[in-house]
Amino acid sequence: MKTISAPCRALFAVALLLASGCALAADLGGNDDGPCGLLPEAKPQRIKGGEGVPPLPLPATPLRRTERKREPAAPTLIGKLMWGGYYSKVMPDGQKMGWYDWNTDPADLNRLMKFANAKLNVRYRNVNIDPKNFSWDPAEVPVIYIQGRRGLSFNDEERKKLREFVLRGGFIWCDSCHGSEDFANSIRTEMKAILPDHPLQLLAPDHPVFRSSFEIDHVKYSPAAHRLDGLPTLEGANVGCRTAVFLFPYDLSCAWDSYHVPEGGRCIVGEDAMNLGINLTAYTIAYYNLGRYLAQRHAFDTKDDSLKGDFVFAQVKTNGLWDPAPSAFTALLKNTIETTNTKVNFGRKEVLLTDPALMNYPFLYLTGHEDFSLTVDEVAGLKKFLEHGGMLLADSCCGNLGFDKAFRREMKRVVPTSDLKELPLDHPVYSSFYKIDKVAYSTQVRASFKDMNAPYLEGLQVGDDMRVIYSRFDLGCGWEQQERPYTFAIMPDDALKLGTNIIMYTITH
Amino acid sequence: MWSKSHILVAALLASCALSASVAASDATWWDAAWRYRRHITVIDTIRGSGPTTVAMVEFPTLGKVNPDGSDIRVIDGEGKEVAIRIISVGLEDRACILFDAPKHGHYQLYFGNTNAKAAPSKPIEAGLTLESREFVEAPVDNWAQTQQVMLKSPKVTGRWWSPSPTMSFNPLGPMDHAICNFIGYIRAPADGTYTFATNSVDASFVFINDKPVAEWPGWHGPGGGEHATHQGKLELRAGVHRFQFVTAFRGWGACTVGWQRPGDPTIIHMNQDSFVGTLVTKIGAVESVSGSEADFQWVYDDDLAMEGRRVTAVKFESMTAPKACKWDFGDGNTSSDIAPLHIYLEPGLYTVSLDADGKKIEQKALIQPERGQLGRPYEKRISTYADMVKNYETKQLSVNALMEMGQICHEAQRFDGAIRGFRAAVDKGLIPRDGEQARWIIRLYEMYRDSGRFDDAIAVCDAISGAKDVPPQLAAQWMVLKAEVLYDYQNKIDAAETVYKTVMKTFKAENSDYVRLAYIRMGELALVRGDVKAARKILEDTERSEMWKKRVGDFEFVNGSHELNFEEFMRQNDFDAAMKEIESWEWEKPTIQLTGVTRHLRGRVHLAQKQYDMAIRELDRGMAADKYAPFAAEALFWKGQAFDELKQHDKAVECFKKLVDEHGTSNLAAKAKEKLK
Repeated sequence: MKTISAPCRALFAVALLLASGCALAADLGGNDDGPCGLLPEAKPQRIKGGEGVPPLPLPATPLRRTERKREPAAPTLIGKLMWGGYYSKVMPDGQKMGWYDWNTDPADLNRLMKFANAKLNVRYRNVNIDPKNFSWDPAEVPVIYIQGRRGLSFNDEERKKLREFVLRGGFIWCDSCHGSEDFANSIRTEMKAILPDHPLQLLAPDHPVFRSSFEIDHVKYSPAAHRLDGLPTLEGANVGCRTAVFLFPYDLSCAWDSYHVPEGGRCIVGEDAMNLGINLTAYTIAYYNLGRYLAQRHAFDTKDDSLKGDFVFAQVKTNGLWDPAPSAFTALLKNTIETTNTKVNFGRKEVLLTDPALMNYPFLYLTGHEDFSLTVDEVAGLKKFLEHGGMLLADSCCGNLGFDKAFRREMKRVVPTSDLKELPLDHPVYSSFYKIDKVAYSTQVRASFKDMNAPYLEGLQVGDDMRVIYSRFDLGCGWEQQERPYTFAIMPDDALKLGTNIIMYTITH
Repeated sequence: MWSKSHILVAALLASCALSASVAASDATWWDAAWRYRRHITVIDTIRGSGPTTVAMVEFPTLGKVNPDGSDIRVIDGEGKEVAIRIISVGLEDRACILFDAPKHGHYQLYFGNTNAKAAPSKPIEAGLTLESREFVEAPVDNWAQTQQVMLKSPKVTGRWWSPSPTMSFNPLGPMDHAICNFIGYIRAPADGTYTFATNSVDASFVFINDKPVAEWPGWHGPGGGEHATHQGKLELRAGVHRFQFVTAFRGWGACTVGWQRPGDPTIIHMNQDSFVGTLVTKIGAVESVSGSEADFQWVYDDDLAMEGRRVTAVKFESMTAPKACKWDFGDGNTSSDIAPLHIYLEPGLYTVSLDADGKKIEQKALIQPERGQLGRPYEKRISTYADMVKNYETKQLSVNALMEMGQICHEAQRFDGAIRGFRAAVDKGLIPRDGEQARWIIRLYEMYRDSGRFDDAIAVCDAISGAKDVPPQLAAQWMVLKAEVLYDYQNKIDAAETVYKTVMKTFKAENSDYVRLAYIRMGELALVRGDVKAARKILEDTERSEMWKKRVGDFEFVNGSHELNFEEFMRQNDFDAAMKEIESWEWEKPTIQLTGVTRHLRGRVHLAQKQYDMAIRELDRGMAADKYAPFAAEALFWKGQAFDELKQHDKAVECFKKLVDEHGTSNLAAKAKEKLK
């Protein structure tokens, strides 16, 4: 057999090169490689006017130098996390282009901050975070922004730092550029490892982020998303009431960068994405101090025996987010002791409804952030508790509809014969300690329910007695004196009054 | 102009020698009716383009020259009168004249004859003069309108020779709102077409031989395009031509003129060499018919004019050589130097007197922000100035001058001087109405407060809030500032409460930020006293009040944004900004006080600033608001640290023990345990 001659071999190599070049070019159009966004704009050309140009420059002008104090630098809100590698390629028009994994939309945060600052009338800036020299302290940068198209993975140390960052009050935003499945899936996997106790789930339509600045119930998707326009799809992981981790499975950054829709990109497009970004910014600022608050250990345990009475209260554990405001109930108890001199057990017991010791508690508190469900055993346990004279107080944390629906559904299973009914204003619960005929509601309630100022509690009859008191609006966060902005809540002062009344009612009945 | 100083310095150096040698040989008095004379030496140096036979002399008049200068005569070496042209006389006790000096050398200048009639005038075509007038508000879109304005404003604020028709600001009067009129004689080198061009912030006009050539109605004038020629052409014969350039400005004024002579490639700025030059002269000490007199002159040293400040340093010098001098600069300050430098904090006409060995002389000096020497760095100038003005006698200084004194000292970090200046201004009845003044007086209050001079801080507040015709908003502000010192720094809660109550009562209807603050503080006082119910009521009422609604806005992220900013400013070690952040947090959301978190954070700022006493007080106040507060562990830890720094170790140990006992689960407990060891 004849061997291939040298020139032939050279030709063969060229052909190979060509083929690989084609493959790269094909990638460009698809969902894989190359930076997004547009090329930087050319500098504007100076326009020459005829008459307006003086033939001589004016002399130097006096400048008043008074000692004005330097403005402090604008606080940092968002840091873009650097990860992955650097790539470059030659474009078909001969221009060379380079990009990093972490920065496929180089101008997205700059523009988002510009728009958000203007809309919200604040002054924040964005930075890039080099993980090698970052303090991982939310006081330095409250939001870590991770963006990209390739899948990523962290090592154990980074996971630990990220977990700490979130639990100390930090936020993580993850944007999957082009709506990349690789990236979104890798984030889902990582988050499972980083925050196993706080799973990522689809955000409900009444999540505050959809109304924190703009009312958003409908967004436009790019053609490649193959979706009907409708509710924005965001995933989030909650720490307490605070959604600390956001994942945008449909790209927002391309629109932030330049309102640009990449070919084949699965995006939320144009102004909708920008508005959503501004909402996210507002939400993050609003919930920043809540994160810091929840991160502080709340040591309400006390050695003072005088505070311990015979009356013991307990909070119910369910399979939902049952503990969004960990110090709420103890805060209420603390307030009750102070204002009424009642002896109560100062501290919180966490119980399962299947716990045989359930009957020892005269009073149960049930709250939650989203949907939950009770097992058959739990339904039976709760039924038994109520029928034996126990009392259940429940409220929907942040006034979320998810919990509201689930609670009504589950209570129907527990007490099929009776429905939750609004308590009349002359019900003793409104006068058991304070006389309550008016209640202050949060801005959100006032916006949705015009002229709403009467207390609104619902009760459930079990046999002849009212055994369940339920508030469709948030009580717990008010007890904590920590507002959850943009939620359906009763303001702290009145929440405490209502809470105290409910406790006093329970004690006396 | 800066070059005035050069001549006078040169003159001074030469004066003693000259008066001894030349004056003695020239003893004959020209006319006994003229009671004073000075010797003039013409030097062969020309300022401007030569050749020229015209000399210029500037001299102190001792107040003896007639207001119109009619008694000024220049006599040459042969005892003959020579032609003169007066540039400036009568505005101050200093004059500037031109005279014919075909034979350079020695001349005598006679003055001091009240009965003299003006010498017959002869045109002397040389040099460039500048006259500045006040501006009477009217449009100056064209020459006719500008002439009207000039007619309506006869008040001349200054007149002197000028080195060039370019100026960055008006050196002879107000920096804004003035008309500057340059008149001079240009030397056209050859026959041909000349282009003249002007540029100015506001209106300007160029005339050659009284014919308009170029005009520019300013950026703001209507119909700018129509008149905006900026430049014009004209045929000129070789030789001397009259040049006039007028600029009228309502704001700050700067202007320049250029020309293009035949053969010039482009338009170039006109400078000293474009004009027919004058010979430089030196003057001697005054001689009098009746014997010797005290005599002094003054020289501009430098100023802060390019920094937009109207502060001028002037060097005074006796022209004789007395053994002892006593100067009074006319602003309440004195000196006993032979040649003192004095800083005038404000332009004006000052009467300066000198007592030289018992002989007294008084002259009026018109102090204006001259074109300062730019060579010396600003920082050096300001620190020299501050060292001089920090000990000024404040009695005769105006409020503006005192504010200037305070600012200069503050800028050079001579804080004692700054406090003296600002305080004197307040004592003179200054009501800090505009933003700049308010900023400085608040600075004074802060300086007193931060240096522990609380009584002085309160005195300032009282002076302003108690002044006559003080606007209610300002009165409320300064009363609240007083209460802040009482409450935050002196812990006089009752006294503070009285003030807050007065503010709430007196200024109930005022939509002032400080009235709101008074309400907020009243709520806080109730909280500190343990009356949570009352506190809650006041704070909630304030928060929901419609009065301030517009300024607070209706946004829900107040808490988050303030805490976030606070953390950032603490990280930047900008404690002022951090404190301001807390203040605006409390202001926007009064009910945040109920959680005690803002007081707690104040404690943290004081701790960082090493003000441990105050840190402990604020941390206590934070805890008083809510003893089960989430920051309880943190507060105990910081308090322990503060006590540690104060060397009160018992109390520190107490705090750390309490922390370990009550907040065992806190992550600070471990640190506290370490500290206890």
